[in-house]
Amino acid sequence: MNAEDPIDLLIAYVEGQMSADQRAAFEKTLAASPELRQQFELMRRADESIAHAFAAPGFVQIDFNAARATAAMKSRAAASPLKRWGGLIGVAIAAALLVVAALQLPMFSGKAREVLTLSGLYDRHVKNGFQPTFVCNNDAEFIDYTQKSFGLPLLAQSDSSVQIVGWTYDSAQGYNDLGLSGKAQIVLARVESQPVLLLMDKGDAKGPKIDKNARGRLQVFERNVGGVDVFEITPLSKPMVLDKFKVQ
Amino acid sequence: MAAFESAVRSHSRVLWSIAAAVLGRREGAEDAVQEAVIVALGKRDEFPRVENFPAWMAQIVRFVALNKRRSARIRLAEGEETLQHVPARSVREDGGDVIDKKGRMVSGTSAFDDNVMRAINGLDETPRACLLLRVINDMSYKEIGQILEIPEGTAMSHVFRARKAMLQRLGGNAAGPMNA
Repeated sequence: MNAEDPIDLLIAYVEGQMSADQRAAFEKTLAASPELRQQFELMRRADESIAHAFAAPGFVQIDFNAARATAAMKSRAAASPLKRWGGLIGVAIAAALLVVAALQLPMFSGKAREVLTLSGLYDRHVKNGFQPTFVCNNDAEFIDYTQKSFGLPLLAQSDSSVQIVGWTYDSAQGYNDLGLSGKAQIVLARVESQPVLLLMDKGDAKGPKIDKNARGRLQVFERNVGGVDVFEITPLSKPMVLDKFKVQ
Repeated sequence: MAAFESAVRSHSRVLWSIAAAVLGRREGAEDAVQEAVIVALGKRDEFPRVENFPAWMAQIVRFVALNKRRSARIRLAEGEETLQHVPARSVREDGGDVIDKKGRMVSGTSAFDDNVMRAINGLDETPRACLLLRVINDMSYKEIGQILEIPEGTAMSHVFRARKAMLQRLGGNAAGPMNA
């Protein structure tokens, strides 16, 4: 904030960021300045308009039964036909376990949380059917997304052996556990049907380490693309997706 | 599951506001929250590691809303497509002038509201979310920072810059005749 700028002072006044003395002094300035009073009135009316346009409903309707059914259906659809019966039994068992586990959530029980490992991240996504949270519909959207995420227009295109499945993410704490910054993003890919994760980060973090559950099973390859670190987490012996990332 | 539902319900209005901020409009915000709950249920094995549940849900809501926005191909830079979704308020019931005697646009008119929506949708997503959480939900900078997982000071900066950008955009329009 620039203390010499009357608009900055006006915003500080409206935001309640002034001491009592500062408020008193500013109110004198406001009383003496028709232009400043006009800006104050404009801000007040804009807030009124925003409050009208974006007023949250008194009650946000959430159908948890439908949500659970849809989530279960998606999980079943991701399973193969041969695994489907096992999956249904697994869902029933998981539902029962979840009731027990939910009662022991750290934010309610105060217990220590599990640290996210590389193998934990990879296995979780494979177990969940390797479903992205969202997909970019075309190259332009992919480039736009990387531009907004990293300030760099990157594109990774699918071809006959590599399929870019989509994007997902983890919590800030998860990224921290993996040696990544809060700006990290996750790309899901398949290389000849093998699931591969790409972790992208433009922070100062060290990057993911191979944990004991990943040793011998997963490899980590790294490449810097225009200042963005891209880590390929793969069951294959060599990286197949890193070279697909190109600055546009 | 009951704990999850309870946690979602207790933060539902804030999550709705975040969805509306990303979408740039209220329509679709409830759907985005519903879809985010479905996504969250698919990630239930993360629950034991989640320390900041509201922030974790807020991130899911943001991504779901972002995907919905892209899928619907709403261009928010100029804000034209959002205007049809803004319920235009009628001219003041007291029959007051839409333009005051100094030629400034008066709030309570659809044109002023349209310009506010344009200005709001001209902001980047995070500053817009910060401003809406401040104005609509009356959240402190600390609370905004916690739910958007940004530093408190950054949340305050976003609100300040968003307000300044809004004034700059509205100041030019408000000084002249009402737009068609």
